[in-house]
Order: sequence, then structure tokens, then C-alpha cells
Amino acid sequence: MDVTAAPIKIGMSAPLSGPAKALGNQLLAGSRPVFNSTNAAGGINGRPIQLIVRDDQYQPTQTLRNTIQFLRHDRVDGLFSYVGTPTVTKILPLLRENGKVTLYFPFSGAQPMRIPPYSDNAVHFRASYYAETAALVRYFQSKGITRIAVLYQVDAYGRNGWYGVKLALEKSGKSIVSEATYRRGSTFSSSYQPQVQLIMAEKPQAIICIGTYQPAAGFIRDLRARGHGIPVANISFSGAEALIDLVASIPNAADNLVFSHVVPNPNTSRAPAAIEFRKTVKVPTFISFEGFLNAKLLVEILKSPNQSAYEIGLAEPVRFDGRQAKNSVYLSTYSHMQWQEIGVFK
Amino acid sequence: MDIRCEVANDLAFLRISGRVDTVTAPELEAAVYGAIGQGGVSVVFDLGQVDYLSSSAFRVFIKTQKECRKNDGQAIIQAANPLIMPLFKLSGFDRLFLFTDSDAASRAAI
Amino acid sequence: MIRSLSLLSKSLIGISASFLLVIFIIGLDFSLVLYHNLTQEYESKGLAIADSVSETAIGAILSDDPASLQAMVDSLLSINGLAYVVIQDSSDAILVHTFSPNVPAEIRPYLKIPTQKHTTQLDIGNASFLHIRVPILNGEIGVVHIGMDLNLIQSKAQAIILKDALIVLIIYCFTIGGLFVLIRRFTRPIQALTDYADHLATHDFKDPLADGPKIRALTGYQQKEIQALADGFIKLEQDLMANLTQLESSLKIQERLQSELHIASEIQMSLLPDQAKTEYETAVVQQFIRPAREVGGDFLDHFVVHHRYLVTVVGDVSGKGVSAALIMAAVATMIRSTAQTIDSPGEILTVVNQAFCKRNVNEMFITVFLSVLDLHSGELRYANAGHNPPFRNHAGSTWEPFGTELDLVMGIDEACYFRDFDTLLQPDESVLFYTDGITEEMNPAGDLFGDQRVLAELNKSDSDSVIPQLIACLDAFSAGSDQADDQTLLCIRYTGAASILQGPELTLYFENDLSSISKLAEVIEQFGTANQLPKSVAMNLNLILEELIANTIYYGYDDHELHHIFLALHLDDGHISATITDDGIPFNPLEAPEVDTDAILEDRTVGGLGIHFVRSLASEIGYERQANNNVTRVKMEVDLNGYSM
Repeated sequence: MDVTAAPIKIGMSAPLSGPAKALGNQLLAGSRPVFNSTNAAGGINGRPIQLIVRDDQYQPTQTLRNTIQFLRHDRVDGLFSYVGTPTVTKILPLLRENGKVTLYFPFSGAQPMRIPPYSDNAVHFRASYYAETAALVRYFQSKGITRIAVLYQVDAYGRNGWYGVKLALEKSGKSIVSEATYRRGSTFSSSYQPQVQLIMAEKPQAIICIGTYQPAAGFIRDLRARGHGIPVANISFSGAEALIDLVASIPNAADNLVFSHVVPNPNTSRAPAAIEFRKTVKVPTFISFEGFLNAKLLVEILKSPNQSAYEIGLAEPVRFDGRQAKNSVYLSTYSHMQWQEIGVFK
Repeated sequence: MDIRCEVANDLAFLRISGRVDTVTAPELEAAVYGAIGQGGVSVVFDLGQVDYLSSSAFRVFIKTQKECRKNDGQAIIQAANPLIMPLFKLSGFDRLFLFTDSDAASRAAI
Repeated sequence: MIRSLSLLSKSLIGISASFLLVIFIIGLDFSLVLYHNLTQEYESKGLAIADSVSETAIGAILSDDPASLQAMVDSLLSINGLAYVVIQDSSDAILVHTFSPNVPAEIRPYLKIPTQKHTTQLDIGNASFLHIRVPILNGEIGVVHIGMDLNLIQSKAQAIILKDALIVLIIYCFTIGGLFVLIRRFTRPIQALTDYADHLATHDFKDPLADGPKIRALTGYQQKEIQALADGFIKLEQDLMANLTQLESSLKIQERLQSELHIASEIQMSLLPDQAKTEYETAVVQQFIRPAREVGGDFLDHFVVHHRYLVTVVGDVSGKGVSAALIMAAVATMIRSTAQTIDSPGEILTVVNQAFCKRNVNEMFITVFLSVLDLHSGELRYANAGHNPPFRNHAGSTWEPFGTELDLVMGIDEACYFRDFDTLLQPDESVLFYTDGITEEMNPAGDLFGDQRVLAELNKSDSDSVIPQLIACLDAFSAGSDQADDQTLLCIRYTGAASILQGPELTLYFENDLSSISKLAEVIEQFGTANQLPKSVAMNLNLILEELIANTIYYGYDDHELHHIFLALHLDDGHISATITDDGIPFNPLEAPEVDTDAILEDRTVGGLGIHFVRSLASEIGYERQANNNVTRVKMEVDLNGYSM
């Protein structure tokens, strides 16, 4: 089909290199085919979607620079699937000041973009970190585990998750038994012995990790090396498959891991979107599936804005509560090279 | 060495126990003269408890025998045990003394 | 003259040192001021940052959004010098911080909300920080802590000061170098004199010095001071030559004296016993002596008097070296000779002390422990002139000090009377004498070896190897430090009179006194028991020996002196050999007239019967006159079943 109309420009700033590159690349791998096929089918009302991607290496200042480029130079119509909390947090004032461009489905469950004064500038598909951490805390408590520790990235993302765990625990009168931080940009090869020592000093029964896959995997490696087999939970942002790839070869490390996700398991789900996704993408992952769903939802919204529900092939149509999709948290465990679904938390 | 002296009816019993040697012989000699002084005419050396004699003892015996003979008495060797008896033979004293084996025999011999 | 030259270099050193001091003080002051100013500036910068944080934090805290707060705080960390930020809410709980892996313990005491702004210096690990606390809205909703990295300004200040110091040092080097060149020019003639003085010092003065003419030339030098110096040197050389010749001859005399003294003390030392182990009749003496210097002040001696009393002496002369050794030798000799005639140890010390005090011009003093052991009874008499009390133990029991009754040391009071004490040694009991060089030996840490270590080591030792074990322990203790004082140990082990009767060999002696007959009876009884001889054999043996020994006691000596009659007994298969040696008048029992045992009473005499018994009971009799001694050998067959003839 001949597409000659002005394209709809969509900007995406994500880590395509650096320690979090897997996140950006997987999101892109999931979403790009959707835009391609939409364009192939005639685009949005005759207008093709042009996805402009810039690498920010998960550095907030680079994200800011990329966004300024998108707004001033590219004059984008929307922003899509930015990756990370500190990065997105950094550009929120800019979006508010700009007032016209909306950020669709940032890959972050962080709170600042969901509450005033910035809540008007973003639309969210994925569940918030508060929802994820609350689900994990509820899951552990249902298993009789009350002594919970937190390892978090010492930035806005980590702080958000940390606070989510803290709030969830406070509901049942508990508090975080021990905590440790690591710096953003830490890699798998770094030593996480100090963090293991700090956390294990209080003998927690489980650890919730608010991190990215490289340091999280490094921490799990050092934790298991000291003989601690307690469950370690990671939230969706960590990048479950990339994490497991790193620890799979280390004895005992890939056992007793818990993951929370904001999308169904792309390998096992029977939803039409999952079936279509498995046909489209060679290596299905949670994050690429999220990218896929993000793109599908964006296409639907661009096609017909302001609907009460959008059908994108999930078990239920996507409904919005304000600017946040009413979404679920999916918990699964990984032990002995196997995924196992635990449940869906609404 | 211990000596007990019993004198009755001209007969003196010197009951000796222990060793009679160069050191103790003078005591025995003194006891002999003591017994004779108390009226002993004959002297009985009761050697039942004696287990050693040296030549000095024999000197006392022979002196006593000579002394007793002066008063028509005699010295008697009583109850010498088989250990010391050979010495009497060796010295030829077996022919100079009367040997008895009990008080009664000694008394009868007078 | 030599001193005046060194004065020049001294003043050069003095000038440069004070110059350096001034620079140092100025530099120090400068750097302090610099550091102070920088810190102040830094503090105001920190306060400004903290203020702005506390303002902007209000919104995020009120909207319960730590993530935004963290994002804001993180963006501040790019400010040069800002090391960390902590924000607490009004309940003191930490809302955000920038530490990894966690908030360090050093900060925790400061995590309280102050009523006003507060600044303090804080050390975390190796780094120093300016810790600034600013309450948010008067502390109503929380507090902001920030840390400014002080090392940053310290290194900045260091760089400036180092640069300045380098410049000053270069100036300093040039100045001193110039000064040195100038002074050298002035002092060249003095240098010539210095060289001359050096040569003078090492010269043997057999010939005049080679640079003499150069100095003589200086006597005509234009500067008066140099002239005078040169004159002085010439005279010095001449005087030195004269004096040295004299000195040389007196040194030779002294050297000869020294070596003679040394030989004398060696000879005197050699008079004292030097065997590690000496066996006496009923006692074993072991000894150890190790002087700290070549010749020492410690001494020990042991010898037997009257064939019965073992005298042991352990002493310590104050001081060391040849003089102490001479005194020691003299005193040891005095004690040895006095002990021949006096048997009370206290009296021996009293007599020796009197003699010693009379000649003690050097005011030296001596501590002595003198003991006399009766080898027959085990009685130990002793006197202690201020010496370390010895230790004793009975076999199998623990060691303990004894003989702690001290009298005055010798050499102080001529009229001093030394007391006698006595104790009885049991068979197998040992006594160890020592000098303070043992107990006061130090290890490199300065601890004394001490009585308690000696006692502890003794209690671990075998009674046969007390001395080697104690020395091994002492050497291990003091390894690495020099021996401070002479070290002496002497150990007597009393084996007990019975010990000599064990076994088939017996050697002993008797005095020419009737008490020997009783002693003989005891000895033969024990010998018989020890060798399981039949009663009749023991009796006959006793009889033979009594007759022979009594004969010697009665008829052998025509003086009234003490004599010794020696007896050696030997038991082997089927017979006993006895050898009696006495120094009496010649008497051959083989030549004594035979007694007529067949004679009638009136003809019997009281003599000769004893020899008759000997001849009858012995199987063999031999006699020899050897070196004024009668040696009588008697052999007796032993019929283990009973009587022998």
C-alpha cells in the first residue's frame, strides 16, 4: 500500500548499550514488528508510524538530552516505552512544561509519573511498582515469611520499590528487617559481598530485589556462594530471562527465585496476543512481550482515542482508571530450570 | 644385747638375748662378776635368745669357767642354738663346758 | 683547634637549620590559613546546597513520594564536593540516602533532627567530610544531611603548599650552596690543619708526619689566628710523640699484668671441682657453672672431710671479672681448709668471714650457702650468708624452698656470727643450690626467670636430670638476650646409707673405734638380706670380719689418731671375698700362733681365739703389706643351704 501522508512520529529513548541494554533491546524487539505490520496494513488512518529510537544507556542526563531532541528537533507526536525510573523521572518536568506530548507506557512502575503534578503527562499500561511489591509481600506472607529484606538500586527506581515494600509491610505492622543498596551501573562482575553481609546480618527469610538484571544476578551469585538459599524476588523491571541467563550456569544460584511480572508468561499464555506474539518474535521474553503489548495498545489508541476499553488480545480488554490501565501482577517462580506460575494479583 | 640375771641357791642364770660381740662382751663380763657377787657359785649362760657370738664372748665364758671352778662351781652353757653351737666345737670349748637344754637340766647338773 | 673548625660547619648547619625552621613555620601558617579559608568557603557552599535541598524536598515529602526525592537528590550529586545526602522525615526515619551498600555507622549518631543548622566534621573510613544538617521547616517535616568531601580541599591545599614548598626549597638550596662556597674559600688553610689533625690521630709517631712542612709554612700565614693554630699543631705533634712513647711502655706492663692475673684466676678456678657429676659414698653431686664474662664471681665446691661429711659450697662474689674471681678463689680455698678442722658450717663461715673482712680493702661482699651432709645419717647442717635459699624435694614429692634463714653476707661485719641449722635428708631426697644469676636471668622482654619458673621446671624434671633440664628451660627463656650474670647450680641427691649395701659389691670404711663393730653388724645384716645369704653364712662372715677389724682397732695403732679401715666385699658364685685394708702396724694373721683347742681349761688363754675362728671359717686367707697398708683377703665358701666350714 502506498503511504504518502505525514508520519506519526513516536520517540523512544531506551538503553541499547550499557548494563541495562537488554531491557531496551527486548522492548524494541517486541514493539517494532507491531509498528511494521501496522504500517504494512496502511498505518493509522493512512499515516504511517515512524519510531525514532535513541540510546540513553540508562543515564538520566542522556535521556533528557534525547527527549529534548525528540521535542525540539524531531517534533514527535508521542513518546513511547521509555525505560527506567530515574530516566523517566528526569524528563517529567520537561513534559509538563511542554504540555502537548504524552509519554505512552514507560517501562517503569515508578510512582512520580503516576501522581500529580506529572500524572497528566504519561499513560501507563504496566502495573506500578507499588502493585508489584505489594503482590510479592502478600505472596511471601501467605507462605508464612514475615522477615523480608530489600536490596535496591540507590536511585529513584530503587527508592520507589523500597518504599513500595515498606508501605506493603506497614499494612501488616511489619518493617523491612535489613536493607542494602548498590549504585546504578553496577555490573554482574562486581562483588556484592558487602550487600550480602549487610542483609544477612538480620537473618531475613526472603529478599526483595529492586534492581536490574546484572547487579541482581551478581547479588544472587554472591548470596548463594555464602550458602544462603532463601527466596529472592525480582520485580518486572529486572528482566527475568536476562537475569536467569547470567545465573543459570552457577550451581544453586538459579533456584528459589521469584519474579513478578506485569504481563502474562509469553511462553505459556493462551491469550490470542501471546499466540500472535510467539509467531512474531523469535525469542519470546516477558519484556519483549510487554513491548509487543505496549505497541499494540498504542496502535489501538492512535486509531481510536478516548475509548473506555481496548481489545488487544489479552484475557480481558484493557480498561483505564484515569491514565493507568487496570492491570494485574503475575507471579511466577523459577527453580530447577523451570518456570512455574504462582498466581495473578489484581 | 640384753642380760637378765637370776640368782637362787648358789645358781646364777644369765639370760642373754641378742649379740655378744667385741662391743657387748664387757657388759656380759660385768654381769658375770655381778652374779658371782650375789652368791652365784655356778653360772648358767642361757643362750636361748642369742644369735651371734664372737671370740670375745668365748673369752668371757672361759674366764667365768675358771672363776667358778675356784669355788667348786662350774659354768654351764644352756640352750645354745644350732647356729652358734658349731663355734663351741670349733674352739674346742665343747670339751670344757657342760651343755644343757633347759633350766631343769641345768639345775640337775649341779 | 679541631673544635674551632667544626664550629664553622656547625654555624653553617645552624644558619641553614634556622632558615629551614622559619620557612617551615611560615609554610605551616600559610597552609593553615589557606585550609581555614577554603573550609569556610566550602562550608557556606554546603549550607547553600543543604538549604536548597530542604526547600525543594518539602513537596516530595508531603506528597509521600521518596522516588522523586531520590531523583532530585541524585541530580545534586554531580555538584563537585558533595559526597552524600540523607533525608529523614519527622519521625527520624530515613526517607532517602545516596549510600551504597548502606548508610555508614559513623553517620548514625548524627541522625537526629537539630533545632537549627548544624555543621560538624566527620570521618568515615579514611575520608573526612563536613557534615551539614539543615532542618526542613524548622524540623517539622524532617531534616536534610549533606556531606561535603573535605579530602577534596585538603588535596587542593596540599597541591598549592607543595608547589610553594618546592620553590622555597630551590631558593634555599642555592643560598646554602653559595654560602658553602664562600666559607670554603675562607677556611682552606683550616682544612689543611684539619687534614693534619686527622693524620696526627692515626699516626704511629715512629717518624714525623709527612705534611709537617706544609703546616710549618702556615706559621707565616697572614692571618694571625691561622698562625697561632699552626704553631699549636707543631707543638702538639712534638708533645704527642713524647707522651706516646711513655704510654706505650706502661701499656706493655699493664698487658702483662692482665694476662698474669687471668692465668692466676684460671689456676685457682681449676682447684674447684669441674665434673658435671660426682658420686660420693651415699650422695651424688651434679653441678653447672657458666660465667657471664670470661672469669666470674660465682663459685662452687664440694668435698668430703673425715671420710664422712660432704661439704658443699655455693657462693657469689659481688662484681665480676678478675678481681671477683681472685676473691672467690681465695674464699673457696679458705672454706676448704677451715672445713678440715671445724665441722660446724656456721663456724666455718664465721672464721672465714673474719679473715676475709680483715683483708677486704675493696669492700666486696660474698653470699655463701655452706652445707655439711653426714653421708651416714643424711643429716644436713647448713649456714646461709645472705645467699638465695636452695630448694629440696623428697623423691616423688614437690620441690620447695628451704634454708631460708639468712645471716649477713660475708665481708661486711667482721664480728658477724653465722648460725647453724640442720635438717635430715631422707634417702632419695635432693637439694638444689643456685646463684641469683639463674633467677635473675632476663628474657628480651625484660622479665626475670624467677623462683616460680625454677620451681615449676624442677617439678617437671626427673631427679636424675634436674640440672640439664633446668638449663634447657633457662636457655629457651632467655634466648635472644645476653647472659647478665654468672649462673651456678649444684644439686645433691642423698641416696641413703642403705643404697650402698644393694648388690653384690660393697665398699665402705670403718674408723678405729669400737662403734665400727656395731656398724659392721648392721652392714653385714643388710648385705645378707640384700643378697639373701643364709643366716649362718651372714653370721660367719660377720664373725670373720669382726675378729679381723677388732684386732686392728685394738692392736693396729699405737697413736691415738683417727684411722680408717676399709672393707670391700664381693659376692659371686659360691663364695664371698672380703678385702680389709688398714694403715695400722704390720700384722699378718697367717703368722699368728695357732691356738691349742685341745688344751685343758687351766692352759687355755683368752687370746688368739679370734684369729683361730677366722682361720677355721675362711676357705682362703691372703695377706700383703702394700704401701704401708695391711691388705688382708679372706674368702669364704657359701653353701646356700646352710652352714659353711
